[in-house]
Amino acid sequence: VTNPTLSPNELHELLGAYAIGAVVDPAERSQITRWLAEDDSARAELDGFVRATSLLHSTEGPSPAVWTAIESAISQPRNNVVPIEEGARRRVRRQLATRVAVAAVAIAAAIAVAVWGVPSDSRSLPTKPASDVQRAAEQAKKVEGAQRISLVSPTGGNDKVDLVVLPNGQGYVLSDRIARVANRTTRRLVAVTGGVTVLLAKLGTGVAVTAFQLPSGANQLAVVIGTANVPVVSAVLPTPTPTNGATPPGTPAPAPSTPTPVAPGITLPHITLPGISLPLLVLPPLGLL
Amino acid sequence: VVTVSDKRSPSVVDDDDDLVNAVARGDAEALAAIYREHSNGVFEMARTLVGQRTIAEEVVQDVFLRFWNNPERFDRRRGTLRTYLITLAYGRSIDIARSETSRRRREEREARLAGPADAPSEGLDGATSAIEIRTALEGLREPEREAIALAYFLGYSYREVASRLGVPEGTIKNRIRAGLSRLRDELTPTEAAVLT
Repeated sequence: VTNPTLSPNELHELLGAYAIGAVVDPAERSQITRWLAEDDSARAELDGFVRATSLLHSTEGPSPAVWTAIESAISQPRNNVVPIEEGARRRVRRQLATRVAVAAVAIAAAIAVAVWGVPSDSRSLPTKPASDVQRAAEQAKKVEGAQRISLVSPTGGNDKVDLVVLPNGQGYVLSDRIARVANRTTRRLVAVTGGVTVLLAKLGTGVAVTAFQLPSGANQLAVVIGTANVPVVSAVLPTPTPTNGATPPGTPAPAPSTPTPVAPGITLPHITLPGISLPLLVLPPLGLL
Repeated sequence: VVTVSDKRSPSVVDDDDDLVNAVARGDAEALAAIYREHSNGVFEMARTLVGQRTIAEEVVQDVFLRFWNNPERFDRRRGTLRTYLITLAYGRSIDIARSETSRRRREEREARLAGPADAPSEGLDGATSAIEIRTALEGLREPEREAIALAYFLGYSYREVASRLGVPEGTIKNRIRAGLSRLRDELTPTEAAVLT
């Protein structure tokens, strides 16, 4: 017992914690109980707090697209199931390799700028992927059954993004030519699957993420900028993407037969996974590194 | 008073072990079963911390993929599978909440430097068609979210929350109280009546 006698102010302070079960000291609980029995306004306040906790609960849970994306990702060979000691060693090796790669890119960039100067067309943003992802993307282009897809501007502009997608859904951004828009540099590669738009990767400023995993049943790809859900470039996929075994939600939509841009001005279904890249989804399989 | 207890019966714990072992063998159906059982709790923890449903869904995705890739990191001696998954969601959500806060500050600073903001893009269909939909939870401040989430979803007492976060107990009591007050004020009269 740490608080044998609580003042009225202390009782008031504790009411929120009491409402969510965070007061476990028996002495404190019994004093609060006595106080509530005597004080109508305190009881009313407690009722309000308890009602407020309803907002912490979700009646719907995550959308079906979340499981679809997970299911798609776990259809890849699992590359991290190794003894913990070996995993730790591998992390160290990866960190070292990353630092070496970052240093190499920085040196190469400095040399390039010194030799050729700054590119005159600074409005466009060619993606400069990390070397391991780039190597995996080069290999992907040669895989039988891989689809080359160009996302083009629905309004006929010059913006264009080229992708390659393997039969297992692993995809890579090969080139990214989208004009920079002031203050709207966050560009998101999204797929539409089952009427729901799913984030695949964040492109643009900072670390270039050029690998992604296409979810099962995706029938449209697009890049959106900032918080707008209007595609800057897009394409309808020619064939349904692969599906695999495990059950839960998410019914893939049928896909049209030829790649075409989405009609001008179309608004994509609500983006369900915006914002932050998921390293586990965007890393290529270990075998390709 | 709603409390979330993590005390599970031995059979549930055994079921957890069986499912985790199956996941370690690469059984996607086992992961699906775990997802059905725990995705909602993981989602609620994440949504409380990050505010936006869409980003919370991303956390759910991340948590279950991390678990799939490293099921051996679950140690039943340290708690149930539910606690483990929700703790993963907590860590990931806090990272996101902090990086989002930094990003917003950076973007606001850049916008101020660049002058008047661009007009909304063509095709936006009112507020509801924007990617980010404001929810009541977004009205909470980050420290309030964190205190409430630890107490409500992981079952910590306010003293344990204070100890974990390294702040005075009085601060935690006030954060929880202020956060709940904000949520209460977001309830519409209709919602309040239905919930009564």
